[in-house]
Amino acid sequence: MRWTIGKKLATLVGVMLLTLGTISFITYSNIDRMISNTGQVTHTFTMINGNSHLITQLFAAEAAQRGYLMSGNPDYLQAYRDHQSQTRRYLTNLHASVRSNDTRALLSALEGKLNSRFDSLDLGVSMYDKGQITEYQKLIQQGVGLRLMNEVQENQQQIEQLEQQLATQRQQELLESNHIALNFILWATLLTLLGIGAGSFYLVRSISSPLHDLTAVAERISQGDLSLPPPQIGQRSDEIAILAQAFTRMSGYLHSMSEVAKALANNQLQADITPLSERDELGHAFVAMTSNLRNLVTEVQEAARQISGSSSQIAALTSQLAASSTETAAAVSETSTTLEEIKVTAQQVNQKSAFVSDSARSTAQMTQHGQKSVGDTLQGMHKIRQQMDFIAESIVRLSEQSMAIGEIITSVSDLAGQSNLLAVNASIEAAKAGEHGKGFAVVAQEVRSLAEQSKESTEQIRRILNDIQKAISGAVMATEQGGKTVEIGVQQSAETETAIQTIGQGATGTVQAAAQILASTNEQVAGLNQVAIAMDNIRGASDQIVISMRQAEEATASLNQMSNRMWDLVERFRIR
Amino acid sequence: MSHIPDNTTEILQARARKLAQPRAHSEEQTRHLDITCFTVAQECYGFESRFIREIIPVSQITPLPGVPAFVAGIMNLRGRILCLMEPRHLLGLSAPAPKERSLVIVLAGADQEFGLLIDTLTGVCRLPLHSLQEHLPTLSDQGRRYLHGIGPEQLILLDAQAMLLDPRLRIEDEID
Repeated sequence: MRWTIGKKLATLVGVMLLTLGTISFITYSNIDRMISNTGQVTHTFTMINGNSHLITQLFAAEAAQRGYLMSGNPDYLQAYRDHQSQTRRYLTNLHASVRSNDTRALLSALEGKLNSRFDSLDLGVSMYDKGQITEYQKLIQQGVGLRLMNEVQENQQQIEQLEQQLATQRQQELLESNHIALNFILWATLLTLLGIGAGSFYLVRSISSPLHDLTAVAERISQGDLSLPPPQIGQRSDEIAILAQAFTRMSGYLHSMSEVAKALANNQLQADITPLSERDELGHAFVAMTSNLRNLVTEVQEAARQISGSSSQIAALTSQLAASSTETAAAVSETSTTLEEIKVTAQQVNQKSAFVSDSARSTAQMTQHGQKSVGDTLQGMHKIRQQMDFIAESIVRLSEQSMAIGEIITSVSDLAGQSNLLAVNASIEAAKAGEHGKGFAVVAQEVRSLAEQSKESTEQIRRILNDIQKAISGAVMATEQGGKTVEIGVQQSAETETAIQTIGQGATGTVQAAAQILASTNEQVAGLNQVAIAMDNIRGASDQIVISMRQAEEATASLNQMSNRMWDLVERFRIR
Repeated sequence: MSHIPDNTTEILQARARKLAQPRAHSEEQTRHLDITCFTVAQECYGFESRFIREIIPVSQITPLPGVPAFVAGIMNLRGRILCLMEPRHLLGLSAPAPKERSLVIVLAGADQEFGLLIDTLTGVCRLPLHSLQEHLPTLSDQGRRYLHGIGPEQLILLDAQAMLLDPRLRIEDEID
C-alpha cells in the first residue's frame, strides 16, 4: 500500500487526536469531579449558612417575643411571627437540601428542639395576651427556654462541625485527585509533544523539501522561466511524486505552448496546434487564437487593401473637389463683380424709369390734344366725302350719257358700214353695167365717200368719246381714289383716334407701370445690395471651403500613407 | 357737235378738189379693170367687179361634214343656199382664219356661184391693164393657179373666172 502523505498525516493526526482525547477525557473527569466536589463544598457551606441563619432567626424571634412581652407593641408580635416563619422556612430548606445522614439526624433533633422552643414562645405570647405575664415569668425562670436554647445551639454547632468536617474531607480529596490529574496531564503532554514533534518534523521534511523545490520551479514558471529541468524527487510513491510528474508534464506542456507562442510571435500563423484534451484550456485557447488571428489577419489584409484603394480614390476625389472648389471660388468672385455692375445698372434704370414716368405723364396730356385734332380731322373728312359723293353722282350721270352717245355712234357706224357696203355693191353693179353705169358709179362713189366721211366722223366722235370715257374713267377713278383716300383718311383718322386713345391708355398704363417700375427698381436696388452682401458671404464661405479642401487633401494623403503602412505591417504575417 | 375736229372741213375740201380734177385716165381707150379690193390674211387681193354679184355681210355659216377643207360651209342668202369658200385653202395661205368673218364676196359665173370669205373690204378701183404684172414670188403654187396679175401697191388680182370654172370648186346643186 502506498504510504501517501495523506496517510502519514492521518496517522500523525490520529495520534495527536488520541492523546488529545485522552488528556481531554482525564481533564474532563477531573473537572467534573472538581465541580461535584465544589458543589458539595458549597452545599456544605450553604448548610452551615442556613444553620447560622436559622439560629439568627431564632434569636430574633426570641427577641421579638421578649419585646412584645415587655411592651405589648403589636409590631413586636408581628416581627416575632415573621421571624418564626422565617426560621421554619430555613429549617425546611435545610431539610430539603441535607445529604448526609448524620446531618439529617442532627437536623431532626434540632427541629424537635426548635418546635418545643417555639411552642414555649407561643405559650408566652398567649399567656401575655391572656394577661398571664407573671406565670410566664415563672416559666421563664425555670430556665427551660434557656436550656433549650443551649441545646439548640449545641445542636447547631454539631451540625456545623459535621459539615465542616465533610467539607474539609472533600477538599482534601479534591486536591489529591487534582494532583494526580495534573501529573498525568503533564507527562502525557510532554510525551505527546515529543512524539508529535518528531513525527511532524519528519513529515514536514518529507513534504516540504520537495514542495520547496516544486515551489521554486512553480515560482520560476510563474515568472515565466520555463527553462528549469523538472525537480528530482527521488523514489517515492506518494502525492508528491505524482505532483512532480504532473509538474514535469505541466512544464513540458508550457514549454510546448511557449514554442507555439514564439512561432506566433514570429508572425508564423500557419502552425497547427492540437489540444491535449477536451479540457486543455490553453491549447484550445491557442487554437482559437491562431484561427482567430488567421481570420483577423486575412480580414485585415483584405480591409487594408480596400482601405488603400478607397483612400487613393478619396485622395483623387478630394483633389478634384479642391480644384472644383477653387473654380467655384473664382466663379463666385466673378459673380460678385458682375453683381456690382448690375447694381450700378439697376440704379441707372431707376433714374431712367423716373424719367419715363414723367414723359408718360406728358404723353397722356399730349394724347388729349391729339384726340381733339383728330375729331376735327374726322369732321373735315366727312365733308370731303359728301362732296366726293356728289362728284361721283355727276360723273355717273356723265358716264351714262356718254354711253348713250356711244351706242348712237355705234349705230351710226353700222349705218356707215352698211352704206359703204351698199356703195361698193352699187359700184360693182355700175361696173357691170359698163357705160351706162358710169353716172351711177359716180353716185355710188359719192355715197361711198359719204359713208367714209360718216365713218371718219364717227371714228372721230368715237375717239372723242373714248377720250371722254377715259377722262370720265379717270375722273371716276380719281373720285374713287379720292373716296378711297377719304375712306382711308377716315379710317386712318379713326385709327388715329383709337391709336391716340390707346396711346392715352398706354400712357396712363405707362405712368402706372413707370411708377411700379420705379418702386420695383427701388426694391431691386435694395435686393441687389442684399445679394451683394450674400455674395460676399458666399465668397467667404467658398474661400473657407477651398481651405478645408486643401486640409482634406492633406488628411487623405496621410490616410493613404497610413493605409500603406498598415498594409506593410499586415503583409508580414504568414497565413498559409 | 362741238367736238368735231377742225380738219374735217379741210378733208372735205381736199376730196372736192380731187373729184373736181378731170379724169384723164378714164377718157382714154386703154382698157381698165374695175377691181374690187379686199384683204385676206393681211394681203391685198382683188377680183374683177364683173364677176362679183354682190358683197354681203355674213350671217350664219353652217358647216358641212364630209366636204373638202376649202369649203367653209353654207349660208342662207335671201332664201337660197350659198356655198362659202375659205380663200386661205384655195390660195395656200398658212395664216389662221379669224373667228369672226364679216363679209362674203359672192362670185357669180354662168352656172356657178359661191361665196368667198374675206377679212376686210378695201374698196373699188379702176386699174389700167398695163399696170398689171405677172409674177409674184411669194404666192404659192396653189395661188398661182388663180393669179391674174399683180397690181400697183401689191394688189394681187385673182382670176375669178378661173375660180368659177375650176372643176374642183364645182358645186352640184342637184344630184341625180
